[in-house]
Amino acid sequence: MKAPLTHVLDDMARKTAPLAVTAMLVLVALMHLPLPGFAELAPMLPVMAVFYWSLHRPELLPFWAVFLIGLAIDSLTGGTLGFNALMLLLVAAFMRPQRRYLIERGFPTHWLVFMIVVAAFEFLRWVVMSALVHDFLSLGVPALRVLLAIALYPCLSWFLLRVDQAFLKQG
Amino acid sequence: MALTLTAIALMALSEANSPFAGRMRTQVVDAFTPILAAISRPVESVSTWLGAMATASSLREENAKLRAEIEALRATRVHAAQIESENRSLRSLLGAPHSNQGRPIAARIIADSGRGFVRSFLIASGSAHGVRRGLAVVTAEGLIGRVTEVGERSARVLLLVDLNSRISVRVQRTRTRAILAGDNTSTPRLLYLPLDTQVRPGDRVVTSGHDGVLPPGVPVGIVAASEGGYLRVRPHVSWSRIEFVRVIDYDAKGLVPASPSSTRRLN
Repeated sequence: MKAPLTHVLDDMARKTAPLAVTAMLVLVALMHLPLPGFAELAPMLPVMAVFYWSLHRPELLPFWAVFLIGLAIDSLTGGTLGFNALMLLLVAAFMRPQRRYLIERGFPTHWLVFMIVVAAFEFLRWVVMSALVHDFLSLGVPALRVLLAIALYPCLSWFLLRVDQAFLKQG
Repeated sequence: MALTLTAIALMALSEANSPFAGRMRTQVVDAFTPILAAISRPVESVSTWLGAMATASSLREENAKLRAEIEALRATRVHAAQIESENRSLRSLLGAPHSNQGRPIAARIIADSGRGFVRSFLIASGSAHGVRRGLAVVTAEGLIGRVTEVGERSARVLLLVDLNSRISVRVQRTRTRAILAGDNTSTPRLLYLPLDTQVRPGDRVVTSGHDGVLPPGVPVGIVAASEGGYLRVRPHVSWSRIEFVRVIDYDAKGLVPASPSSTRRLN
């Protein structure tokens, strides 16, 4: 028997929710918002989303989707093409094997791993960018960015959990 | 693995300034422009509302300050008109061409990628509106940067604080020429100043016009205190408050007539 249209739409929303929410965060990160600290935090929003979905729903945010998200960031920010795509792929690839051990642990462990991942991510980004411009870029802003991302991860994680419950848990 | 290799290959192409990478970027930006333009409108309204709320408490004080400023500016305007008229007649006597400040194209900022390691804005005007690569982008306060990538409906503005930004400038008081080099800090450096330079903190910096793309005399900033062996410039522009900009279609040969009425409000 053919599935009713509402079921098809529901299934589609379920399958595309992680990609759609991550893409939305990419656009939010580009907004010209006069909020204190937003400019520093903005580049970390997609990283936070990729970390969350790679941990909780990796099947719904496959590598090709992570690659496309990264490529969109590179194009929209005018950075080196492929750079953010590579960095986000590294985050997703690192999280896949860890998932088995982490998924049964509580939020504090997830947060601790996020701290390590986000610090490594930003440091690697700093190393590659410094190499590309043949100069040591300042570490002050990347450090602030990491601290803000760590501080705000619980809030974003709570929001993504709501999305998860609204769209995905029914599936 | 294939995706990782593709990302690395794209990085190599991008770093080699391949036209493919540039085209790909502008096409993606063009495709996203309607979405970014749509979501930036409510954000802009909220920002304006928040700004109005913040200034509401100090309206009386600000009003008195503005009145005093208007009085001072009235006197300056009379003086400026006299100088302009004198300048015009002297130029006519010498047969020198009149200065050309270019044709302005108004544009709205739709995205701010001035984060991370690249400092740039996306504006909702592109080649269809007459925007070209290299053109100067200004606000009422002064220069903010230049156009580096142009799509049909969008363009990227590299801010003067970006690491890749190099602008030919002049220190107004001493007429000394220099290069203003961004380094991703809020105060770009002044390079290639003469060793016996008389430039000091507080001097005004304007574009020199020697690159043939930027009009001369556009305000850039004020020389700040020397730091790390370099004199630095504090730009006039307050980055967080910009919503609209003007792209200056300037022709160094003076082929484009300067006309304030030709300002186009786009988007």
